[in-house]
Amino acid sequence: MSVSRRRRELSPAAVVGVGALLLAWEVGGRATGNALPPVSDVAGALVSLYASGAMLGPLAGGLTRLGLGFLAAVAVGVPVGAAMGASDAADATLGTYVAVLFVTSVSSLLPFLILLAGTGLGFHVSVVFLFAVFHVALTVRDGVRSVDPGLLRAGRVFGADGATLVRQVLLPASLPFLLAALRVGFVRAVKGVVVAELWIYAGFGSLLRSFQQFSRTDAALAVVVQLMLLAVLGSGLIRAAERRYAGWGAR
Amino acid sequence: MSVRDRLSRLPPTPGEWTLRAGAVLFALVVWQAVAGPAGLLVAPPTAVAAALVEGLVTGGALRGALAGAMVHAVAGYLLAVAVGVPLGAAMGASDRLGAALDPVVDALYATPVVALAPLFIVWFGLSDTGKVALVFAFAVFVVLVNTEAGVSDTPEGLVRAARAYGLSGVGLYRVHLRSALPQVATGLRLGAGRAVRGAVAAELFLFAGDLGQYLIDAGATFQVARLLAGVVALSALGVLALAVVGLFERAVTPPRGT
Amino acid sequence: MADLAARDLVKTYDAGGSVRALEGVSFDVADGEFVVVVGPSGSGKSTLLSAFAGLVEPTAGAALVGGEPVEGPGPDRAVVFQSFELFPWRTARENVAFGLERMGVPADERRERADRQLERVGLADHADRYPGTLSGGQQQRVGLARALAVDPDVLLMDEPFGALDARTRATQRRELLHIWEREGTTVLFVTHDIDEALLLGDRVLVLGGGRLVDSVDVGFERPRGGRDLELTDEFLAAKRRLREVLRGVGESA
Repeated sequence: MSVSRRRRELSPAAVVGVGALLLAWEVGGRATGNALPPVSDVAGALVSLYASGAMLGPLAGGLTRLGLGFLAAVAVGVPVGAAMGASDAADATLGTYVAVLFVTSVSSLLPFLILLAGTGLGFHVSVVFLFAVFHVALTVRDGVRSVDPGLLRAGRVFGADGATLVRQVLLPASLPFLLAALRVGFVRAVKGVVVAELWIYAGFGSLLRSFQQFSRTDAALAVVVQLMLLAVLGSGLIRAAERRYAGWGAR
Repeated sequence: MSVRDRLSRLPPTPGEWTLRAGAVLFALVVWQAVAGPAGLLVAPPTAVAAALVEGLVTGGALRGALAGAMVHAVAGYLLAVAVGVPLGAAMGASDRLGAALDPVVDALYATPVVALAPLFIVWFGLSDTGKVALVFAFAVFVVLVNTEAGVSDTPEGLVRAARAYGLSGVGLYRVHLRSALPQVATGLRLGAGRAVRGAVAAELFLFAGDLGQYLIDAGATFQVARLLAGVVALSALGVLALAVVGLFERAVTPPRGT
Repeated sequence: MADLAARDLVKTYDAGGSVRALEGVSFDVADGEFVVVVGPSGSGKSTLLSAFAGLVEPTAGAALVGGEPVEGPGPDRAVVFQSFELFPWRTARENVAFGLERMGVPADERRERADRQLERVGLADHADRYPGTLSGGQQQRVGLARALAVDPDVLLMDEPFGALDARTRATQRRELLHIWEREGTTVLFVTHDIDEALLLGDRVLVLGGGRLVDSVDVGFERPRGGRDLELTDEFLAAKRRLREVLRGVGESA
């Protein structure tokens, strides 16, 4: 699920790369007129969305739904994933449910979820939860399963067992995967927020919808950029935590 | 053979499969039981199964709807592969290009692609091209990222060994390619899954074709069994897509010992 | 300090008992003796060690320490692993103190004892480093320090030098002998290296196919730190004999 890459940090080459793309976008944007607005227009639109206050409601609403859904997904996904990782019996039972639900398109469930949960906060939080929870559980499961059994043996030899073994060996050993699970879950949760809001034209969804109706491609792109920043910021913070607290893992 | 080797060769215990089957059975039974009293909102598995048969075999409405959506899925997928593999390979092969574009690709990979749907409506109107474009956007990044990883991870030792045997130019290129193949295949498999999701998103967030109409109508008329049948059929389709490409992935991945 | 005994020790895995790791092994190890177990892969050496460590339960028979059957891991028996098994998120000192923590030793005493052990293995300056930044030989020494820190009656060593290069292995062997000759702990040491077995042990037990095939007394005088023991005729003769036995159980060493 997670792919190893050579570089992730900002390097001089990256600055050049991003700069070049932005330049190309700016130039190309000016040439194509309304179809692809230049970067400057999009940036301007984003600023004015904030200045006029139009962004604040959707941002607050979106963050609330994101927070609640993501927390719920972590609260359920981590223990379930840990159980699946630690116990073959749990892996065969819970794991079967998780596997089946993981391949289910949550989007296709939207008409059904509306029937169940209406269009209020419950609907949004359910969608965000469903988008994130299975990825969290599976990543945690992989993490627990990848813990070197030798470390567990060493823990037992020197007197740890049961809850102590979990706390003193299993948890720290699987920390890199736990943080990765949070990161993956967060990105999924953001997708869930957008999907739910787009379905019933709420929050960011309502902004996008009205911009589409008035062919305001600059403002629509501004919202997309805002969402991208949200996803990147959140996952970036978690990645920083990964480096700080799980840096000993030579991955 | 060490004890550990011998232990790892044991077939999965009958216990495991019993548990899996038991879990599925248990869920179905509970679902069937709950559906009665819950009435309108939760259709029992029997009703869903019946709707599946009706939709896929006898009536065929679901079958047609899925076929229509899958055309977009396949088209968008092929496009994603046509763009993602070469670009990913280039980024993997060139340190500088990779370093330059990685942050951009990462940022785009994390962005919810669905948010682009309204833009696609402006750009493509209510057309099939728009749907194919959305599927492309859904699938391309996972293909690209995996291809890049596969290509950039060719072990140095392998390259040196190849050179020592006199390979260079095209021959060396083939070594890189063969070494990258398993990871590229993984990207292709995951991309197939993403393409199916993209096609569903296109039906729901761009404009409803047969599949979108099927799901929305079923929801609007409270025909939960039909709705869930659609969901189940889509999941099965997704699994099928993953499995088919997964065969290719397994075929090109050298077996690895424990 | 404790003696060890195996009484018809049997260990099988899987419901049908299809994987037979140990098929009735019996032997005694006297208090303070250094006994080496050799044998080809799959002969059950590691399983034997795990049984004494309390990590696996015998299917039949018993592993006894100080006359009492082993019932799980305990502070009287410490293990040194081939792949070190240091906790990468703990510093060297914290790794060494792990067993002491579990025994409820207060923090100051823990630190003091851990530092002392690190000093003994020559790593006092590296106490605050993480295993990831240490060399193989250094990690192995931290593993040894961790085992010694709990003051065990029995030291169980599972091919502890197997992951090291030849040079480091030779150095570690000498250092181990040095430490052991002062401590006098009972040691059960598993290896597939005949030279190592003869250099370290008082006695060599040969395992093959889960059974005890032979027990060979090693007569060389102690201390054995001298570099030239391997070159003596005595040594070569003993090596030849041991090789013969091992050939009989299907391994050329």
